[in-house]
Amino acid sequence: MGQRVVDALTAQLSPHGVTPIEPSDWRLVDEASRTVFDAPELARTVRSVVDVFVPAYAHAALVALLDDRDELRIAATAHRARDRAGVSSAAVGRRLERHDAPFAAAPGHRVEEFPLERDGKDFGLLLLLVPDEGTPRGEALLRTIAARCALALDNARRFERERNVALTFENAALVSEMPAIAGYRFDAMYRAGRLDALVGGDWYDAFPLGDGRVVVSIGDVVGSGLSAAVTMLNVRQTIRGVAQVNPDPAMMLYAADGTLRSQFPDRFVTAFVGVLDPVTQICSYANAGHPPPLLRLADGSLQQPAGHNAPLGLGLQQHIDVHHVTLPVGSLFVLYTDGLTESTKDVFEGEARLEAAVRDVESGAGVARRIHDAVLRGHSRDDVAVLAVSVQHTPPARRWRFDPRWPDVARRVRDQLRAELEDAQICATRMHDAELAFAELLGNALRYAPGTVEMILVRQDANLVLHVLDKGPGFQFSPRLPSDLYSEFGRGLFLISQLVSDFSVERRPGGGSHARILLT
Amino acid sequence: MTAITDESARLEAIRRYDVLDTPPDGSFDRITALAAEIFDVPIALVTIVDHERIWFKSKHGLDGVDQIDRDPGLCASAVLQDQPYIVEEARTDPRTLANPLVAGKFGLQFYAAAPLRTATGHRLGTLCIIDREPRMFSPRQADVLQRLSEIVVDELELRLSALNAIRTAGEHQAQPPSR
Repeated sequence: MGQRVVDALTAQLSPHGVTPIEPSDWRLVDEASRTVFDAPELARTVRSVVDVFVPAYAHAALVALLDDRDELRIAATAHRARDRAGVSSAAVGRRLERHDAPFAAAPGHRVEEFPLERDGKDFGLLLLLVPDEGTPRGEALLRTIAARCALALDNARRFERERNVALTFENAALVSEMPAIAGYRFDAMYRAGRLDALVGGDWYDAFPLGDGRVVVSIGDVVGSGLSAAVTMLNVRQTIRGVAQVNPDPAMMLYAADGTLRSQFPDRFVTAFVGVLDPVTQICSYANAGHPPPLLRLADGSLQQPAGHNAPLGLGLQQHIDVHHVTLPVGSLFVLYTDGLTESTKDVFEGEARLEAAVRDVESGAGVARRIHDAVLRGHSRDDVAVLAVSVQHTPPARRWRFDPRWPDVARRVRDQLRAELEDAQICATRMHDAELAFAELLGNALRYAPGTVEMILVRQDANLVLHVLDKGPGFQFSPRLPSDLYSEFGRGLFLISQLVSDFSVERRPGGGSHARILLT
Repeated sequence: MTAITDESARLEAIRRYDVLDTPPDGSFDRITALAAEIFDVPIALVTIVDHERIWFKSKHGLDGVDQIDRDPGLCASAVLQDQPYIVEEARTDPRTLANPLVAGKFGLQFYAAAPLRTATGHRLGTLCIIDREPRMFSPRQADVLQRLSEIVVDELELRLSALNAIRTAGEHQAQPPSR
């Protein structure tokens, strides 16, 4: 009875049922532990493990780990310099054969196998090549050190996996591709404040809509670390999502505010969202507590598009205002987060430096990075995002400005439009739909906005977008939103939206409506 | 009647109508306002093409300028033909792109003029409409502009008749002619 208790205790102390090691050897265990737990990364840990055993305890050592497909792959090997036995380091990365020949065939040696396991689940194998006469220190010590190694390796594996998850997330969070719009250049830079992170709470974003407009956003989730980055990604995606349905800057910020309120109630965010139309060169924007962008005009003068609301996430029932700024040819529009101006610890100094940098910077590729470098001069511990839009020329477009009250001029426009569409090799059905949509829109303009109408046809890659701008009272229409019955009444807008790929109408800043029809 | 192209005869006709440097006249201003309304343009003018200048008898939508130099391309060219003179895109049109109103700060981009053609065939000036953006202009619109220009000429003829009546009356009173 008493003996059984002792056996059980012994078995618990030493899971393999071997006699516990000599107390004098604990020093060796500690030493080995320190070595293998030294670095969190997997690559360094497997290296330490084999080095712990060779040459002190074994003539050769090999660590193999289970990969995603449950196959053992060699992670590290080591052997004594004078021995040919063992598996050379060249084998690292390949699959472990069950009885790897060089390992098994060494004469006068035997192979000790230690499964690497955690919580009863094997995740790898440690092979030690020991002389037939056994290791000088005894098996118990070997097993104990092997168990410590298993723990260290598992920790390293977990660390690696977490880092991979973080990297994957961060790569998803970083915007790699900038929109390609004729006449426009989008250039951005981002730097996370913490050295060990790729993303923080700051973001920038720029993406095109089907009708040729481009949505730009920049913002800052107050706070740092991965959780700020998670909030950031949610807010940014909310803005992206709303833009696809209703590219109204205020709507995007309302939605972002709602996301914060419902999912991240303890976070607040500053954000600037702009929707710019290369055809009109107008950027409609809304600003929730974010530093106002800078606009450098062709003559070198600087403007700061004004108007902003409170930050998002404060639980305010604020009305978010939409403003408009024209980005003329030759201008440079610079959006940034406060990491750019505030890391000097003197905001005024930071802003003065930014203005000087924007005034002097050479536009073109890398302009965002150059602004960043000119302002920060190397030292910053904060997240920084900079997004710069250079307007080089208006996109090539066919424009007609005419008064549709005169039927013969309207017919002439229709004929020229048809010729343009034929030139674009639009199919017969699409052509028919386009002509119907054209007639409907002109009819609307005649009824509701008599006077001069501007029509613009833009070909961007495979997309054909027809713009119709009138000077009437102006209204809004989006086929994806519940329509305003009063404004929709009798306008045939629903018909148009059924005919073409995408159709929306927005109010123009100076009065009138701007309809966009995606014909292809 | 065939059009008279002789410039000195044309200038003589302008002298006869005695319209240059006269004060604004409500009847002409009504016509330019109407033209701006009909064609939805910001500027409409009644111009007289003098020897070295183009003088504005009526100017709707244009302040501070009474006359401009007689540069080719716009009114100076419009009085050389009987038909309306149309420039839909002045910045790319070879007839107008060098004109200072087009190339300069004023930024004229659309111009349509109907000559003020008198009963004797002299083209004194124009009724013209101007926009700062390009614009398409149809034959029917040109026809309406032409008819409006005829109303301008009617007004000029009325003034001339009145002047002649006064002159005749003056001669009857054996006074020396005013000019």
